[in-house]
Amino acid sequence: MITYVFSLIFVIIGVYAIAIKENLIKKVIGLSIFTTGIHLLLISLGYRFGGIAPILLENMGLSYFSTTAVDPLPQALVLTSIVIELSITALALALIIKNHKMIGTLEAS
Amino acid sequence: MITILNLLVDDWVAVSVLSVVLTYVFYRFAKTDSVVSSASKKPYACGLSVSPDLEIVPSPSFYKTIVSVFRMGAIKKLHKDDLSTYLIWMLFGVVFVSCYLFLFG
Amino acid sequence: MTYFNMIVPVLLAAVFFITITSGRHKHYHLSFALGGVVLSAIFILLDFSKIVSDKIMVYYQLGWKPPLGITFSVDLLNYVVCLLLIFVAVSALAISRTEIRDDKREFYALFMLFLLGLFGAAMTGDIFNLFVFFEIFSIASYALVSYTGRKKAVLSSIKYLIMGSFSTSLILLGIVFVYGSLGTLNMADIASKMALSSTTATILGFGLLISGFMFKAAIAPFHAWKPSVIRDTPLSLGLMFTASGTIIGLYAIFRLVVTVGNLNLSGMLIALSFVTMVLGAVLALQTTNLKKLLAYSAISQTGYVLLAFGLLSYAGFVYHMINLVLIDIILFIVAYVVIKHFGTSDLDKMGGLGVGNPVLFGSALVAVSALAGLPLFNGFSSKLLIYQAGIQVFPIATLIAMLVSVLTLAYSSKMLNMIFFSNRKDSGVVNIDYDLKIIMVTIAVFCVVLGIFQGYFTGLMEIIAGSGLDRELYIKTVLGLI
Repeated sequence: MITYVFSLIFVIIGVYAIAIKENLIKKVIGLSIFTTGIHLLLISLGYRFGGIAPILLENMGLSYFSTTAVDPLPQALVLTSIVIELSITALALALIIKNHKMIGTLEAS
Repeated sequence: MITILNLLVDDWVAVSVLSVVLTYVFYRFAKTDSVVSSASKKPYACGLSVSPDLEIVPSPSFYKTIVSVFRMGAIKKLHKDDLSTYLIWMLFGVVFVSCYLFLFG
Repeated sequence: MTYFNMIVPVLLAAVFFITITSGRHKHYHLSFALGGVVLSAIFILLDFSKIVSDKIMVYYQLGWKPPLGITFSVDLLNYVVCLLLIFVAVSALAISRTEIRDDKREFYALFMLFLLGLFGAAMTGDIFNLFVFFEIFSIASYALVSYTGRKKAVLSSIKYLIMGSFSTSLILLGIVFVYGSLGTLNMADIASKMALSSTTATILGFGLLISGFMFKAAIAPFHAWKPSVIRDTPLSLGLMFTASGTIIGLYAIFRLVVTVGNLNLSGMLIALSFVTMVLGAVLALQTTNLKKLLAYSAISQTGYVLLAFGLLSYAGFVYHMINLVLIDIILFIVAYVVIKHFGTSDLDKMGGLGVGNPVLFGSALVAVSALAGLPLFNGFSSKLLIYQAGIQVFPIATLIAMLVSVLTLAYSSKMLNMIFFSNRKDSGVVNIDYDLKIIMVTIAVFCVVLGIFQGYFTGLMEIIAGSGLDRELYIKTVLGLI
């Protein structure tokens, strides 16, 4: 439950940093925080209280597995999304460096 | 009026005949108006005599008067190249869509 | 044996081959790109008989059946979107043949990735897969905007990147809400579960998804990236962003609202479409840059498509989307030729091309007449559908659409006037390459044919839109319950 509150805080901080801050690197940091908040929300959706990791071991019964395992699908979605956000951040920083070399400022205008 | 137009454009024989006739008519008139003869035709200025450089109204001034009469310049002033303004518009859009769906979904 | 699922691997193979050929063999880059596009066109055309007989074609990736597996589900609307993408891709490659001068390897590789993302997004039947393909073509477009390396291009690329990744994160947030409340990611499964119960969280999820897709379609208030991006990029990329980015965004909104969600969003869509139409037309009237004028014109016409959607005239939606693409192809080719001739994209410095260029002027005249909605051209047919729907549902919408049509006539005739007539008498003959001439004239003839045989094509658009509206058939075919 507490993770939902934290993900909301991250989303709000991220949106504030993207929309209000003038410095481009702070905007990229805000984007990263915003995406982290969404990932936290997604993972905590799949959590089950007292659950086990979703790995089917040899002597584990199927019904036990399906009633106590944590949902693995959000974990796969978050892995994909972390990779996407990583490449966006890398591209954004590369473009900001090139912009800084040509114009000389880190402001967004 | 709309049904007459619908009937006209659905009959391709009539339309193709009409378009051939129109194309021929335009071609005949286009051949007579070459560049040289259009320079000697002056635009009508209500009987007054117009100096040669005022004959052709330059296009930018025509559209600038339209823009200033209807006060359309205010919208262009909002669209300066400012990233924060654009992002705040996007936030307003998201909030508007969410509120609409929340209330009327 | 379906062929459309091979499009994505073929385009990926094209990316691979373009990347490994070295810079010495520059002429191979365009060949591989064109080969990838031609193969994709062949695959789509091979599936034509199957889509006519089956109505919906489904391909299960790796053989996993839904709702666990990811599907490529293509019905008639997806098929038409893929065909339009092929047209736009061929035209953009034809423009880029002479427009991109230096090392073309990264350009064509990124272009093929862009096309891959577009095709994947057009064909997929799973919302997270849609998000991933959306990200693929968005990231390729962020890199492509800054390709030329000029100051303005890099700056507008950064702004576009931040706005774009914010909106695709909104798509992800929407997916989170939809998955959290319904438990599945497959579009047909969501459709069947939405019929039973839809909570507030699901509706909010759909709202966020729609906001993210509206960014790509450049609908107000998410439209601000488009004019500066199109001003600063080469025209082949501008054509891709305008024509294909917009139709993917519009198709995604259609799929989510109509087929999957069955939501009633008319009020909001009509309100947003008013703002978009008026904004695009008013801004197009004031600008003196030809590229920006094309961008604003595309924004205004996207507003028309959204108005058709809001007025529940789905045939008008599909028809005007097709017309938007065709008109933009002609206009971008004309703009490319004109800008290359004059060396500047400032409209005040152009003029006088009307005398010696009959093919160029004829095609531009067809495009402008279709844009303004003159009868006997295709713009009139789709606008007629919108006006008729507006009179029945919401008459003020027809009034505003007609006013914007007047503004459209104003700015498009301004563009025609400033390029072809203006102050000068004679600016010489423009040298158009034969492939651009063929594409321009073919699409102009296509526009006229679409306008003349209006009754037949309106019926065709009704069939295409009807296949998107048929939810039960979609759910049953994709989930394999038949």
